[in-house]
Amino acid sequence: MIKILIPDDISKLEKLETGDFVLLSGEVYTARDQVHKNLVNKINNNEKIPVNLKNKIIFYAGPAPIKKNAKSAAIGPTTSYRMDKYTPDMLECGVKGFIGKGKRSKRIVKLIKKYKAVYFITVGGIAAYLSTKIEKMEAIAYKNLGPEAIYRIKVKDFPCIVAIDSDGNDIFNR
Amino acid sequence: MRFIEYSSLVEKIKEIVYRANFQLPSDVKKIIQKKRDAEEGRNKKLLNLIIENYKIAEKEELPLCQDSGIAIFFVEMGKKVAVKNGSINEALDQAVREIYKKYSLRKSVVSHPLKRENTQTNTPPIIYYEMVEGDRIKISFMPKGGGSENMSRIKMFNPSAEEEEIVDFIFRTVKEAGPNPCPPVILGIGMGGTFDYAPFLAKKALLRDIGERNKKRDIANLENRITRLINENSDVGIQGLGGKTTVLDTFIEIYPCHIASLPVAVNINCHSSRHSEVVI
Repeated sequence: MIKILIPDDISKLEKLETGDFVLLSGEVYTARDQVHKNLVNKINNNEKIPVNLKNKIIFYAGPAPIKKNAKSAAIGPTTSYRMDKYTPDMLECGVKGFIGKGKRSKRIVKLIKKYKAVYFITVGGIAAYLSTKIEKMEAIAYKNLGPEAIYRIKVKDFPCIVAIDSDGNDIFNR
Repeated sequence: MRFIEYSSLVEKIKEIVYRANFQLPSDVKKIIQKKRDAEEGRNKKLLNLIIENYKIAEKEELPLCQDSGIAIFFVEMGKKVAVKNGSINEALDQAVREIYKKYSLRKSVVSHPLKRENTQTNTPPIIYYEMVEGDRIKISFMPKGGGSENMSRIKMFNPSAEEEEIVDFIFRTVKEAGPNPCPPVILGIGMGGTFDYAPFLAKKALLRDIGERNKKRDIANLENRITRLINENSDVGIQGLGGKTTVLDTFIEIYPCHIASLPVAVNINCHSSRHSEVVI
C-alpha cells in the first residue's frame, strides 16, 4: 500500500505504476459534467475560471448534501469517460491527477502520459464507506449546481487504484 | 371499493423510499458474500469494501451510494381500491421529496434535458401503473443510478434472429459497458413487446430476488446460461478489473410481439441493486 499526501507528494504521482493501491490524503476538488462544460467554455472564451487547477487533483463526483453538523457526506466516483471531451483542457490548466471510475479514451491515455499525470479509479457504489475517509468538505464554486458544484475535499487514506500511469499504461487495456 | 387514506399511503411509501436507499436487500447481500468467499486477492478486497459499505450505510444512516438515483415506482393497482383525499401520483411525489430532503439524499433530477436545471427535490419520479385484480396496492421502489442506466441498450432484431445472436448482443452490451456500470452487475432483460415495452420489462425484471428464475423453463435456462457465459468469458470482473465475477444474476421477462419484430432490451443494474416493496 502506497501513501500519497497532496500537495507535498505531487511530484511522486508520476512515479506511481498502473495497478498500485494508493491511500490518498490531502486536498482534491470535485468536478463533473456541467462544471467541465462551463470551465472549458470559459477557457475557450479567454475568461477567467473560478479555481486555480495547477497541480490539483480532480475527483469526478457529485456528493450527497452534507447533513447538519456533519463533516462529510456520501460520495463516490462517477463514470469518467463523460469528462474525456474536456480533459485535454484540464491537463493544459495543470491538473495532475483524476479520480473516477471506468475507462478513458485512447486519446486521454496518451495525454496523461504526455503531461505526466495520473488517473486513479476508486470503487463505485460504496459511498457510505468512502465518506468515512473524508475529514472536511465544502462547496467553493458553482454552488447553484447543487451536487454538481465544485467541492474542496480533504481526504484521509482515501483508497484508489492507479488505472493509467504517467507512462501511459492502462489497467483496462488487457 | 376499499379506500386508503392519502396520508397513511404517503407514510407507507416513505418507508420503502427510505429502506431502499439505506438497506441493501438481503438476497443481494448474500450473493455478494458468496462471491467474496470464492474470490481472492484484489477481487476479494474490493468485495469486502462493498460489504463494509452496506454495513456502514445501515448503521450510520448513510446512503449506500451517493447516486441515490432517479426515483422509479412500479404500482400494481387493485381494481377495487382507491385513494381518499389525494392521488397516488401526489403521494409518490411527496414521499420522494420528503425522504430525499430529510435524509440528505442527493437530488439527481434536472427539469429539462437540455437546460439541465436541478429540480432540488429529486422529483418527479418515473411511475409505471398496472391494473390488477383485488383491493390492494403493491408499490415497488427502485432508485436507479445514472452510470448503469447509461450503459443499457435496446436492439430491434429481425424476427428470424437466432437465439445465439441475442445472447451475443447481451454479452457485448456487458463487455462494452466494462467498468462503467459498477460491476458486478445484475441484468434485466426484456424480450418481445414493442420498442417501448421491452425496456419496461427489462426494468421490471430487476425487481426480482437473486436466484428467482422465470417460470418458463426455457427462459429460466437462458437466464442461467447468460450469467454463466458472461462470467466465464467476458473478463470484465469487479469494477472492470478482470475476473469471473461480472454478473450476479440475469432476469428475463418476455411478452408476445408483432410478426415483424423482436425487440430485446438490456437494462443493467449496478451491484448496489436497491429496491423495496410494500403491499397496502
